[in-house]
Amino acid sequence: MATKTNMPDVLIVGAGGTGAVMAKELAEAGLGVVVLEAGPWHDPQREFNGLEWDMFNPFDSLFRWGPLDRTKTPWPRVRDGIGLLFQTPGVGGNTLHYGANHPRAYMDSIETDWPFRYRDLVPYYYKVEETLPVQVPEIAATKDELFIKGCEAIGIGHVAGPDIRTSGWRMQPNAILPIAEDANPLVYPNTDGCVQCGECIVGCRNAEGAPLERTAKRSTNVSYAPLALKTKRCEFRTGVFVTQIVTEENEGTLRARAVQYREADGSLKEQEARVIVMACGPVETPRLWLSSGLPDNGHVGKYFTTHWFDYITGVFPHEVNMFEGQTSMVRAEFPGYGFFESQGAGPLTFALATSMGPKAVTGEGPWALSGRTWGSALKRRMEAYRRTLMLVVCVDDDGLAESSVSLAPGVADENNPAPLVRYRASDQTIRRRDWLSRRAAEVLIGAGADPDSIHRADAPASTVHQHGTMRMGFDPSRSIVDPNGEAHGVAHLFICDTSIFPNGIGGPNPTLTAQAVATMISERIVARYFAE
Amino acid sequence: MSTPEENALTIRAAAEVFVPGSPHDPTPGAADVHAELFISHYLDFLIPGLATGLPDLLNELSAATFDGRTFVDLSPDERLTILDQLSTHDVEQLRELPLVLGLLSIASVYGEWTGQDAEGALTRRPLGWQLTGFDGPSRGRRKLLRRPEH
Repeated sequence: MATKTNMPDVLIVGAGGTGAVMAKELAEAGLGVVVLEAGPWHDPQREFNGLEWDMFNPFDSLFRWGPLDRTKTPWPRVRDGIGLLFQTPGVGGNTLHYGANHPRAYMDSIETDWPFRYRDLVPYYYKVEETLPVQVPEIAATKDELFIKGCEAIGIGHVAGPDIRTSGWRMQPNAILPIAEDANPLVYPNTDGCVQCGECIVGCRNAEGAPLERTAKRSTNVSYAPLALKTKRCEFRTGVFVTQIVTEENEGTLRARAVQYREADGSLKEQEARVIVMACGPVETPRLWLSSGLPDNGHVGKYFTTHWFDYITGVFPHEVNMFEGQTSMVRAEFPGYGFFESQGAGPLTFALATSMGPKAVTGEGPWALSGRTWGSALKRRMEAYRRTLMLVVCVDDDGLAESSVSLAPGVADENNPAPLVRYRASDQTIRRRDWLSRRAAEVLIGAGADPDSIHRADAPASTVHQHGTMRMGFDPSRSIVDPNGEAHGVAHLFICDTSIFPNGIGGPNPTLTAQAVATMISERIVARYFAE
Repeated sequence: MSTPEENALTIRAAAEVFVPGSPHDPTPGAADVHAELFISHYLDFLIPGLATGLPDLLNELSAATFDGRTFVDLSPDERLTILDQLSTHDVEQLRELPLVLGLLSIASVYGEWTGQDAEGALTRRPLGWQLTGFDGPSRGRRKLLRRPEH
């Protein structure tokens, strides 16, 4: 029997990239907010050590998806047609582990499938960009200078941001503090901002000695969550896992009334709230929905998109040192196809990202090597690590009904049935990905890479970017939430994470758009349920 | 039934498929760092007994495919054939094992494990950093910072 506790205005499930945004906006609007988060609130200065394996291996690392006690196994996930699943528990969620690239969506992708116009999003983009803040770096590392050189060499011109409708390269809009001044010693407050360490995806802990709120990469644990706390109207409960959305029916109307959650000690509690917001991401949100027995119109969990990454690499006659500078400081946009960008990585990430492809690569292009590279081929590529430039391709992939999240028969963790995550690519997605990969290879050759060194990984799909499964729309028979983010058929229940995206926004990194949409939904919640 | 030593050698032989060392490659690899210790730890962490069960499975497949030979006795190409067989095994749960083995084998060489002591403290330069020339984590890259105005 679950124990009940006092009722807040709004309860948010998940303190990741969007839940923390929602918490800050609603608390600043004067509402009492409780956020329930499966993981801890990390102290980057004390806990992050810059080591790839310790920080994000899928078994027992700080960012692995599993119980707080890391001597216990990770939570099981069933995959079909997909490689690694990236899910990060903790305040900040996947933003703890991301590269902090914050471009806006491609304009036409919003106009095509979303239940509102691109221009409706723009004020919310501005608000998030100012809050984090988002800005382009004024200095480029060698890897990024080479990227620009390669683009120009093959006729890819510069395109001005932030609103993208045409192709071209541009400096990366990053949610990272301005680049710091050199100082001696290189310790806060002598230096304040991004110190170009290259560890964005390992987990930012710099500048050394900085208070939490001045951590350079603007994951929500150092940006939005502290702002929510500052209102004194928001409480974060960490290390608790929500197992059920509790509903009640009144005169034929279903409404969300509470959530049931499991404490770290295993006990179950119930928390009531006037409004409940799901911010668990495209895997956990449909899992929680289905585990709670909420209504399924046949579209719950469907139309999952991932931007199906690929990695194209080339070796130069001189040092590139991909580990220097922000993980990515420049990108090339191709509306209708997707984008690619420079990508820094430590040796382990580089090895794993580029070596685990299939035996036979799909598509033809200007690469000398392709697919999996194991054995001596991997070792020779790793010996050239310091001279290698890596580009990551993100495709505008079609959301197919077969690409889905459902409950896996016969597999469960201590909380609920495990999710079965399935990914399938359309022929159009494959053609777009091949096209982008060819262009990326041409950029590398244009920048001076040895043509005989070009390698296409043809990497399996992963969930570094993830969207869809609980799509937003007007039609209750074809979507899960309405244009305000409220569930069709379940009053007082909202979803604000990337699961509500009707498409993959054209290919760009989704975090900024997700945070802008969450900001918009927070206003709609206030207007609908808490207006004076 | 294999002995613990035989199981360790079988896992080491599998790791060499991904990151070979002496005598199959001119630079150190999985065998040189005793990757089987790292890999077995995580196999048993995932599923208790897997570090024993997986070598038995590899030996079964090897014997059936290569005239009764054990996995350790196979050439690198023959070992790869067995791992490819495993990735299309009739039992769905077994198909992931080559991916897990690959991830752990690559991490055993290019992760930081070889530079850490029993408590996880980095006490020496990991082999992967030596092989790649990686400098290790940094608290700042001075050449990419802004110059003070004064």
